[in-house]
Amino acid sequence: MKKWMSRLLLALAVLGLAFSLAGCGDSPGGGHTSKNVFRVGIEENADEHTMMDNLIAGFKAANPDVSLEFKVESYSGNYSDKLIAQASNGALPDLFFTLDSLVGYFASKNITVPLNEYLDTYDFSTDLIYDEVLEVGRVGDEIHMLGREYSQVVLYYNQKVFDAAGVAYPTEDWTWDEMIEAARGLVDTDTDGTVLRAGIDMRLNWPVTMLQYFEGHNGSILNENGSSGSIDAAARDAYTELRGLVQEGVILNTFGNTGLSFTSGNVGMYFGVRSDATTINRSLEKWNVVHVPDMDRHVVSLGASGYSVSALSPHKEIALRFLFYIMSTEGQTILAKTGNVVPALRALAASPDWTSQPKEGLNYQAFLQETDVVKVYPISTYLAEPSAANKLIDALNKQVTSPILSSVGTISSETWTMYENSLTNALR
Amino acid sequence: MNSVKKKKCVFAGVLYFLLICCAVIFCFPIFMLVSRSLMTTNEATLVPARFWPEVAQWKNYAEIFEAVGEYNGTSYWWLWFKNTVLLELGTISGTVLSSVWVAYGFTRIRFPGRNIVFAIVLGTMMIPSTVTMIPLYTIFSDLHWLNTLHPLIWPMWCGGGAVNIFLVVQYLRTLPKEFNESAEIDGANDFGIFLRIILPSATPILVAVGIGAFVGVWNDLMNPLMYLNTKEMWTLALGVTTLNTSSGDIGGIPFVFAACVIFSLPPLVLFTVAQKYFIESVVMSGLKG
Amino acid sequence: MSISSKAKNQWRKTVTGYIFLLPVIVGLALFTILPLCKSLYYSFTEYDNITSPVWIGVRNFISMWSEPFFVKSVGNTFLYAFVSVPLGLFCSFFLALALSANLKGIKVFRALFYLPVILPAVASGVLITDLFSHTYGIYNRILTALGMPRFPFFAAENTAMFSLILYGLWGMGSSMLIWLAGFRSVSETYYEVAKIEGGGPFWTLFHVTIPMTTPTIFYNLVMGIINAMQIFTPVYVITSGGPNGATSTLAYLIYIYGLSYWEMGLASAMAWFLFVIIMGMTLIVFKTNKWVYYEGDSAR
Repeated sequence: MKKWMSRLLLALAVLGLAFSLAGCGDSPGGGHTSKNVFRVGIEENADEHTMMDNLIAGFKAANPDVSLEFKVESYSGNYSDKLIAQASNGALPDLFFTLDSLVGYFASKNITVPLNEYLDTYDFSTDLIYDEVLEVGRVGDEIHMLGREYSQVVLYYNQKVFDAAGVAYPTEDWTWDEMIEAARGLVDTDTDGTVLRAGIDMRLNWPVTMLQYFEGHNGSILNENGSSGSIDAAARDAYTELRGLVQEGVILNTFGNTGLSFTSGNVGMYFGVRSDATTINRSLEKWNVVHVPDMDRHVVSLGASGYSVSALSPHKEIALRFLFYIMSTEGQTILAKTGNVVPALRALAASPDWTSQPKEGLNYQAFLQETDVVKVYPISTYLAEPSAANKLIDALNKQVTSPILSSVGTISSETWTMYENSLTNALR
Repeated sequence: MNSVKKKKCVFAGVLYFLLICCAVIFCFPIFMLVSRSLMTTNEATLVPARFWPEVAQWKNYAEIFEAVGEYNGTSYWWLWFKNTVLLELGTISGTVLSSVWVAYGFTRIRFPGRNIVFAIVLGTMMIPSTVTMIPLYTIFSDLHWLNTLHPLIWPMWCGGGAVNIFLVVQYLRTLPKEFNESAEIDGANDFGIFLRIILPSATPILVAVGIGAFVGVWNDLMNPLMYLNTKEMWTLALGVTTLNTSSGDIGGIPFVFAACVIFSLPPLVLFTVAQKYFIESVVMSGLKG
Repeated sequence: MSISSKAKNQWRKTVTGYIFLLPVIVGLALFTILPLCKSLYYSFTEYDNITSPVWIGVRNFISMWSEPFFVKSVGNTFLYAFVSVPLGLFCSFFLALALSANLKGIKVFRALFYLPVILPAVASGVLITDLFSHTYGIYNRILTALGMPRFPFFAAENTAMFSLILYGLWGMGSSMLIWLAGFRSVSETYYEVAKIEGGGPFWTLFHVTIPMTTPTIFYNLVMGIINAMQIFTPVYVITSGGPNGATSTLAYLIYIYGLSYWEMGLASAMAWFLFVIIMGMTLIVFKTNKWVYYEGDSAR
């Protein structure tokens, strides 16, 4: 028995060593710029893969002189962390998908190529895309990212929940107060007061919705140049009002670890973006979407993700050509076909490619740009130091919003000052 | 005589009862894991929560296989499995071989500096992994080993970790000195003794070390998370973890639990089958500090 | 003649010895000592992992005290270690005692209690989050069925740490095994003497079993502290630092500062702080080990 075992161990050893050494040879996309391969970085999910594969195929068909091999690298988990990790090792893909929160950060470290110089060369007019989308990718006078989609926060609602509670569906001319009233009607609690179904998931830990909320009440939480925290009177009132609603169960307590979620069918409404539609469609049977109703002001919260070119890329020219291909009508049509984005090209606003997805009869108007609105951009655009965005968001969530939501009674001015200091500290 | 026997029976009965109660409490979560993996998504969000499903949804297990997608025509599950197997082979052979090799050096030969090195090795057990985590990342990045399995394999060839070295050292210390002497008389040098005598004798503890290495690698999340960037390079542990995040590929607790159950099966099966080696070997090494 | 051959013999032995130690020495140097030095260097710098490190002296070590949640994390780490380790040791000790009985089928029980340890951390984290859920958790279902109020578990600040400790106790199977090994190593003669002396089971427990297993107690205590002070995975998977930092531990904070805020210098400073604490505590346990009784080493 012992001899047999030790022979097995030895065999395993040899096998293991052989495999390990064999692995020495091929190191798949070990993450370094290579002469013969053009690397594209995307977020990990099936739709992004399909979209990118189609874009590459289209690009190559339109540009037969490009003989480089295109390799798609997808990062999962926290995408921005993975990107930063790659950047720190000088291993960013030649062209990569960027989030709006990273634009300023990368620009300040000279990681991305400023694109404005190439607009003429590649005959691309910025009038073709929405201003808001351009704005998100702009840092000072330079453009570091070309947004590929128009993305604003919308209100998703679960029709089944509304039916069960006997509440009328949302309409496009709803007011904020009407929305709150409807949400109140959707709340369902257990005998001991535990909330079993909440009205709205406003995603209280997402600065996109929070900034929109404050702006809608004419309030702000940062000072003029985004270098310190300053919660003005309107924002304080907004917070107090929010707290009441959360404690009623009207607005879901995102920090409460309750296990309730929109996709599980126990929250009536949800503040999301276009790309959430596919997941929602997979989880819910009857749902639709409307614009976020007006508060004191008509506010729209915008973001955009797009593509940037790595400053260290050995294939800059190809990268730029590919980037402008993605922004062309052909490229944008491919993007639209996957159904996850509203194309950044104005011309495709009513294209049936995306308006009929993920299901027919969708109120796709809700995703489109409106006129005469107050626009709220990603929080990093308001900061003096964009790289502090992560820390600020954490401070806002953990040290300001979360404690406020679980507090009782009037909040003293000393406490407010303490909250402001927490924000300021994060921006140091 | 009778009353003593009776006392023993009562004692045994009470003990059994207590043990069964405790075992039920301990294993209840695992029961719930399997039970909820067989529910429908609606059942899993019911209040009050259900203990077991109305109808067992075995199809959940089938559905997760398709949900993950493909890479160049191969299902990700297969790729993850392949990576995990490769990783296991490389790690187990490295851990087992190097731990006994190094332990031999610590126990069977006397030479200056041996005890100092041993103390240092033991000392490394105190170092929190967070201290070395970030610099290690930069070291592996400079070696161009990112997004490969190398950072996960080669460190295990350097002794397999302080705990394993310690275990094998303790075991080797229980082997009689005569082993060495009889072989020396026959003219064998240290290498020969190692190969022909120590290695076979240490088999029980090495099997335990091997099993421990298998389970450790199978369950490891942190290291693959740090070093394996792209989806086709992941291990099973990483793949199962991301199913739980809202990447939209899989929805609902039952599916996530089903994946977890499948993922937990190999270590559990291995443990049941090799339990003798697992438990008894730890016991055998006779930890005396 | 004999002296030089003896010296030659010793030289040969030394070389051979170091050949055998080569893997661990290389590993130590490359994967332990080098990173340690690097992180020590980083802790005196401001480093965001993209641009080069900037030397700032001891500023990190001072400013980390005013970072939000740092003091709380230190407190939580100590709290967790000082509660869960003794509690766990105590419970697993008696569990192991029960499992060391010579009953039929005892091996099945041993396996059952070790089961949670084998379950991958990923699976058990997700599982516990679901079972402890305020609304859906099966445990709350049981509580409400018994007429008791719902228990918030991870959802409330004052119960989150308790729930984390409870979760940690689930894994007592591994220290239980070590106890079993320790019991095994107590020579039978001691028990026989106790029987002759007429001691009952409790007397034997306090005067034979416990004193003779002090080496095991020592080992379990040291390993327990070292591991408990580094707890990270459950915090990362389940609570993300808990409601309002209630379950934020040092290891978790270090990870966040390092790989989320990209303040590597500060993170390295915190990591060294943790390291020094762990080393200190371990040394204290080592220095006060007069209470440990050693049988005497086996073949050396």
